[in-house]
Amino acid sequence: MVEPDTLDQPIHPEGALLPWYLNGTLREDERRQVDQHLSSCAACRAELDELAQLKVQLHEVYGAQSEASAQTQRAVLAQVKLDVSAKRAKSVTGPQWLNGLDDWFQSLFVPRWAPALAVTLLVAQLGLLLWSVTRLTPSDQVITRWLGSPTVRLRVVFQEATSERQIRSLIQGLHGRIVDGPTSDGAYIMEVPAGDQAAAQKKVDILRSQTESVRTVEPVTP
Amino acid sequence: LTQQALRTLSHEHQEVLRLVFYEELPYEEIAMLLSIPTNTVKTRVYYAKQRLKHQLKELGQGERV
Repeated sequence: MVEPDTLDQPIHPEGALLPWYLNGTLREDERRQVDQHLSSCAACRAELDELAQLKVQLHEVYGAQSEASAQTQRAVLAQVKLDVSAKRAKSVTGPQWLNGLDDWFQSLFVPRWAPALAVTLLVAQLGLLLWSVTRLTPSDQVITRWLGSPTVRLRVVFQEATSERQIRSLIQGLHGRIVDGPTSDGAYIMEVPAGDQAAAQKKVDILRSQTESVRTVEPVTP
Repeated sequence: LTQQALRTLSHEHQEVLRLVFYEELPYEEIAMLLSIPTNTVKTRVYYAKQRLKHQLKELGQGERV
């Protein structure tokens, strides 16, 4: 559509400026010129009224359209955001097997797996502990005694020539242990299990019979 | 009704009406945007307004009938 450069209607040149007089974008001199003209031209004042009314109507139409397009824009942006995050989650760079491994590893952290995994680990640890305890050979065993365990303490002096191996063999034979010594006169305090006086005496007799290794054995009175 | 009347206008007329009355741009800027002389902007707006007024009147009469 081609409009003529000049208006063929009986309108004043100031009338052609009315739309911009209305939207307040005229230069100062133009605005003053229109002001002056309006004061003496009823036709242009009527035209200005019509334009003002039109402006309101157009604002209603375009305002509604803008809101609609803004809503559409927001909806589209939200959808794009969703698509992008979904794509990003899927398109992990790297070879396929690495993605599979990653998926498997991530699945370990899915809540329903966590308790099962924890229980499995606990059971495995308990099993390992029991297995290692039952596998201990007697020589590995550490003889432990607890309070109230019936023992007797003996003051033992070994022969000068008794070797460390012989002493150890004696102690192990009696299931005893050295708890003190050597004292200044070369005596060791040995603790051996003994349920009663007779058992204690039996241990003393055994030790005393080992004359090659043992010089003296005396029960220690508490 | 205004929207209906607007739809009957040419794209050029709708465009200048929007730029003047909604975007509230100065005529020099519109001339620059559309690459047309400022006088053409003024006359185009004038004719667009006349056309819209005419369409509104016609649509209004049509509704009343």
